[in-house]
Amino acid sequence: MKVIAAASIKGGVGKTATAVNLAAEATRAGVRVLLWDLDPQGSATYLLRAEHHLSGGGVRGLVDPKAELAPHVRATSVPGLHVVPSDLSLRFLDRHLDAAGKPRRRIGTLLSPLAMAYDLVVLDCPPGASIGIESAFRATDLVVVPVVPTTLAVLTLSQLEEVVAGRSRRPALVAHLSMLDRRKRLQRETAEELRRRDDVLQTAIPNTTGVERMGPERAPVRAFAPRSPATDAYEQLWSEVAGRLW
Amino acid sequence: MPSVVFDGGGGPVGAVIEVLARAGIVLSPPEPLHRTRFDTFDGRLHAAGLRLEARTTATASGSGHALMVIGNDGPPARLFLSAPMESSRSRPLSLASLPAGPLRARLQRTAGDRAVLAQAALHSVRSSGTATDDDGIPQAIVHLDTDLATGPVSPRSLGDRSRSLARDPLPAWTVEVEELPGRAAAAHRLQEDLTAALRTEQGGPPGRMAGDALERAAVAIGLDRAGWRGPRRPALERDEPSLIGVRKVLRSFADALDANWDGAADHLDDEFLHGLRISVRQTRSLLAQSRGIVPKEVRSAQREAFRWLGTVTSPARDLDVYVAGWPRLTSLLDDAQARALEPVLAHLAGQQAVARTEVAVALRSRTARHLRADWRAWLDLPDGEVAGGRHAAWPLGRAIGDRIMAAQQQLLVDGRTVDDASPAGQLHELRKDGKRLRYLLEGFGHLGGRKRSKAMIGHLKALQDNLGAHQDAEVQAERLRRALHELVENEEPGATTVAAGEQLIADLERRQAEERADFHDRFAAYDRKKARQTLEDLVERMSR
Repeated sequence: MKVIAAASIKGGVGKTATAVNLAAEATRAGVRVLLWDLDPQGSATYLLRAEHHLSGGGVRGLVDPKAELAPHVRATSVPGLHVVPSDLSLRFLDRHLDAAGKPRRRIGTLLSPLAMAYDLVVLDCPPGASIGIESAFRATDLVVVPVVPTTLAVLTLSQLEEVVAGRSRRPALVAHLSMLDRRKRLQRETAEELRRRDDVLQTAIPNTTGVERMGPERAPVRAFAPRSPATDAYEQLWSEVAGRLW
Repeated sequence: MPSVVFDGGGGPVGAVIEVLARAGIVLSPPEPLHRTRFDTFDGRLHAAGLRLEARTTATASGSGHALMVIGNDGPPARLFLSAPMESSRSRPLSLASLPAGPLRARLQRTAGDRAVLAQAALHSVRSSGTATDDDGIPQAIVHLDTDLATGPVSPRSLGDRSRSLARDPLPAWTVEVEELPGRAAAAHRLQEDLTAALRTEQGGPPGRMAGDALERAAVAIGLDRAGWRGPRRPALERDEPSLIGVRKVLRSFADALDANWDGAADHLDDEFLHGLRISVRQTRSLLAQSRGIVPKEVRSAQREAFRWLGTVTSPARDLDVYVAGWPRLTSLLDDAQARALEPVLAHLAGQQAVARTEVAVALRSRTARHLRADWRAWLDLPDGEVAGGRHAAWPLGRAIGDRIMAAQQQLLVDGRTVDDASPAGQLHELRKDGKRLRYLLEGFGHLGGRKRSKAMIGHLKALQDNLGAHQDAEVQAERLRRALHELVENEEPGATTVAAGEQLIADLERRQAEERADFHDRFAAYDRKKARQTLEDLVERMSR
């Protein structure tokens, strides 16, 4: 079982769109996928039409040493794609982890019993750099960072690299271009520059209405716009990510 | 995730549709669905709890193709394809052509060296729907299949005459309620509603199918989903006439021959030819041991026929082993030497292709057809109509016991004469002695007690492994010498190729010398009084 985390210190860069669409594309490619929505906002949970609710005491139930993840797994509107939904109580994840023993191992410990059932776990992380994020990264093989090709957004990539650096179990980190507006010259130039880096994937997700429509449609882009540029881009992005995993 | 499938028998589907409508499930428009079930000949996917199926749906906008792997844990893996997977009775599914990833890796790991074959197909007309709650959250998935019919793919293992399975007719329709994770209660409610409605409609408890409609289709065409597990061991009695017992065992060898025949002719994978050759060797060996039991004219004609079959299939099998074992064979060489030997491997692969074609031609020839038909005709004769040799009426245990002791004596005498100066051919003959004894023990040894027989086969195997490794190194070195010679004759191989070849030959000779050095200890272990006593006890019990 491989684990990828869609993460960024900055909010609003397309993390959830990346997590949901990568999970859907992976499922379509024959991979058994579990998406774990770690963001208390629950956007991925909402988009995949699952209940915004963790059974059995919310986040406290997950931090308990005897807790299991399997009872929280739910089906989604994408056939074959499963989700561990978010819950508002996740906003207290750091506090509960802080009080628990070995907090940075908690997410990995919860995932390990599911190793035979799923080929891939996609973690949709909240923005920032917290104990919860560190726990997620410790269980992760590849952190996928959506980067809007602007100077300030690029800065967050190096900040995330600092978070990852120095850990004994350090995931690989790779960025992809997100919300690219090809009409803006500065974005195009920044994108070209970023693509020359080894840790930046070639695929750029365009800033199109297709991605914006995920909210009202409550589905991955392919479900309502199978022939759109955004769907093609996410399919290509999955292909690149899969190449880094297997 | 668990599913429950209701068998519609021959009844009308109206009650089901009413239940689904009451549950707020809107079924999709009916669409033709074609599903093909795949597995290896020996049922490795089934044994691993996996079901591999290809699906093609015909919709108004065109055809959709997918490959599904359904396991006992986790969601099914579903790979969407732009075209249907190319496969047919004589063309296995190419796992290597699937995109790299966990699905392909899982299938390759499970199938190993066996080809993945289309075994059964089901046509149906399918409507699907999802039960959702008030927030639109999926609760259960329902599939209604009507107009079920088995497809054109027929399983190769139907050639297996040793198992005749009851054929199960297909129901008029099936309805499948798929449970979703965390939504067991909703699925169970729907299942209960369907159970109640169908009980009223059908006047009795509705049938819940084991597996689903595709599994039922596989059973309907007589497929043993567990796959080929070798011929069924015949029930033998110590006191039955030896001819009857020997014919039973020969029939089981013939079953293995039949089961592997088409796969070997089509070269679906290397193991079909291997399985076929084992049954040929076993048959030849038992015929050779059946003097006085099997009538002379049958014995001599069939020994000749099976000798031909062994001869025409031998080069292909040798080359299969050689080419498949090449990475291991060259593992002691460095990378540069291994690369230098690539022309030799290509040369051998060319010979392998020719040899496989020769096998295909031979197995489809008139000679082969007659061989099988004549042999089966004699095996299928009622026991009362078969004239036997002068020992045909002897009790089986005694007749075979005598032959086991004779084979053992031959093995011991030949083994004790081997010394450091003995040529390799002498050890090869000793190996053949061992095989004769082993086949007798495998076929009949249990008449003297399964535990003793197993122990004795174990003793023998330790010696046979040594002799086998010795002979393999001999044959491989000789094959390599010949290949290098042929390359020199046809084109000038590079000096590095010749040097690497000579290095490999030297490695093989060293391996052979190591096995040779080990032989005396192995033989001494076999020739212990205790091991001899085990065999004597076994034969004594067989002959009582």
